[in-house]
Amino acid sequence: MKCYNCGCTLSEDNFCTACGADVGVYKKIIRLSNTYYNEGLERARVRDLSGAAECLRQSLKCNKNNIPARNLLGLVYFEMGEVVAALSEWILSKSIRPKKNIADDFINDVQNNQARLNSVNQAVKKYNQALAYTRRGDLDLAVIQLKKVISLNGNLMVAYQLLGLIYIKNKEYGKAKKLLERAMQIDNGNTSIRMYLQEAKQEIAEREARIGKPQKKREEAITYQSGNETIIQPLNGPERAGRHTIFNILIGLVLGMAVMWFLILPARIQSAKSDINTQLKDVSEELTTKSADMDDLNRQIASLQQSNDEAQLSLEEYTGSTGVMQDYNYLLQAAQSYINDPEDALTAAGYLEQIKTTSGNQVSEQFLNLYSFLDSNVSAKAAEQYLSNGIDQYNDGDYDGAIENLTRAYDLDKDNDSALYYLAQSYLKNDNKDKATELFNRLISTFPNSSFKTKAQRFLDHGEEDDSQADVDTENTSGEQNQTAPDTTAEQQAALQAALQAQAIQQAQEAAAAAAAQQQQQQQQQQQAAGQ
Amino acid sequence: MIDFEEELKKFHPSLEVEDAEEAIHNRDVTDMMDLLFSMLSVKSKDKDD
Repeated sequence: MKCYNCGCTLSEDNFCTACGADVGVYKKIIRLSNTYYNEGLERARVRDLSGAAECLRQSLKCNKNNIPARNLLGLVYFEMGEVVAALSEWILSKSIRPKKNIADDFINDVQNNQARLNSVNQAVKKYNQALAYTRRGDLDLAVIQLKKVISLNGNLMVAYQLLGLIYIKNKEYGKAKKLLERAMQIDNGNTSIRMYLQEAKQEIAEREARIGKPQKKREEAITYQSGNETIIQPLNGPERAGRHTIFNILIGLVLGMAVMWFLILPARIQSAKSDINTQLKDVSEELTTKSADMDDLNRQIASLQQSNDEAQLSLEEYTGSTGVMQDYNYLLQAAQSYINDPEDALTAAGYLEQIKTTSGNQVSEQFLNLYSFLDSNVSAKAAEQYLSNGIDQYNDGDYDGAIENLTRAYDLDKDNDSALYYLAQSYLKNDNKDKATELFNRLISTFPNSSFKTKAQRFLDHGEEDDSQADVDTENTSGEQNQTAPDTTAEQQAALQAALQAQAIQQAQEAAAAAAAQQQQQQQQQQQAAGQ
Repeated sequence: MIDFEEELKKFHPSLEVEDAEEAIHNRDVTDMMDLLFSMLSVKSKDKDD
């Protein structure tokens, strides 16, 4: 300790031994300053930065030249985040003692780290801005700014203090508690922070008491700071995690099914419907094609059926009872009858009457020739025989039979007026006056020179009937004519018979071959129709 | 119960780096020693008088 007057080292006395100045009070002030410094140092060691700062300020109030106290105060300010205040103390310390002063190192450390200095400066500016927001009432903006300040300068105690106050104001006691506990780790002697923390804890306790939640649940959560964010992660036991997992799985299943039902399933159904429609369309087209083919085949069948029917008819014409083949048979039978007994004209004529085809391309020329020959030789005789029989029947009163025979006689011989007359008479006798009248008129018109004309005329004019017996002259005339034939034609008949037989056989063969060919053709057509 | 407004009044803006020079210059560093010396000087002046 030096004398303030002369600068000599002082003794234990309360006066300077060199200049005699009263140094009693001086010594006490120095000792007091040192005492405060020691107190401050002790507090700083236990991180009671606020208490240390207060003691050191008191020490400097006692003795501003207490360099250790000033340097320590700077350190405390620096640890509290008040970098400018720290620099101020160190600069003052350096100005008081320029050499051998640790404050020089402190200042160099701060000034050499420009990035850190800028960051600190930014933090101070944002804090001042946050303070302005708070005073204006914009607490939300203030909170945002203060969080940024704490991220820039994690030791700025006033920022923690202000943010904690705002949390308490907003009744966010949990956040306040967390924040203030963190601030207490930096400076555990700050009375304001202690008070805020106590308030937050008290409010939390009251809230828990109201809700009735066990305190233990709060301790099951892990809280940690991630930048500006405070993350509270609950510690879930295996049961809770298991239940949550199952629940989440169930929710996922329900959501998946809902997505399937409302999004995926309609699309799949639509796609399936589209495929079915396409297939249906193809099937319809195929069905239409098949229907067209079937119609075409039906038409072909109808056409073939018609052809078959026509062929059947053609065949029938040849092979049926009224066919050409039958006509050939009748012709052959007529020829045979004539050959056997040329006088039996009725039999041959009967066969000839059965023949339907007497002209055209369906029969051969030989057929027609033979038919003409037989017709010419048989018809006249047959007509006579029919006339004779008819007249006999007329005379006997068998008018029906007479009508039949006389009709045949007239058909075979149109020039026979007797047949016509007696035919008319037969109708008349048979009470068929209309037919009789017709025939009488025909007789008169056809045979104007006939001997029967008078009788016919008498009936027509007066209704006078002829009850006389039939005249047999015509029979005799026909008989005389026939008597001259057998003498001259015996040889001719023999030759004719041979020729006729050969011709008949040839015609029969030709007819049979034609019929067989047509029948084969018909069968082939039928087979083709069946195959299609 | 904490009074927000009253507590808010305790907060003051912090010094920025640009304000450090002015703050140091305007700093009042009078201590008890200075008071003692001034008192002694006044006393000695009175004694001389």
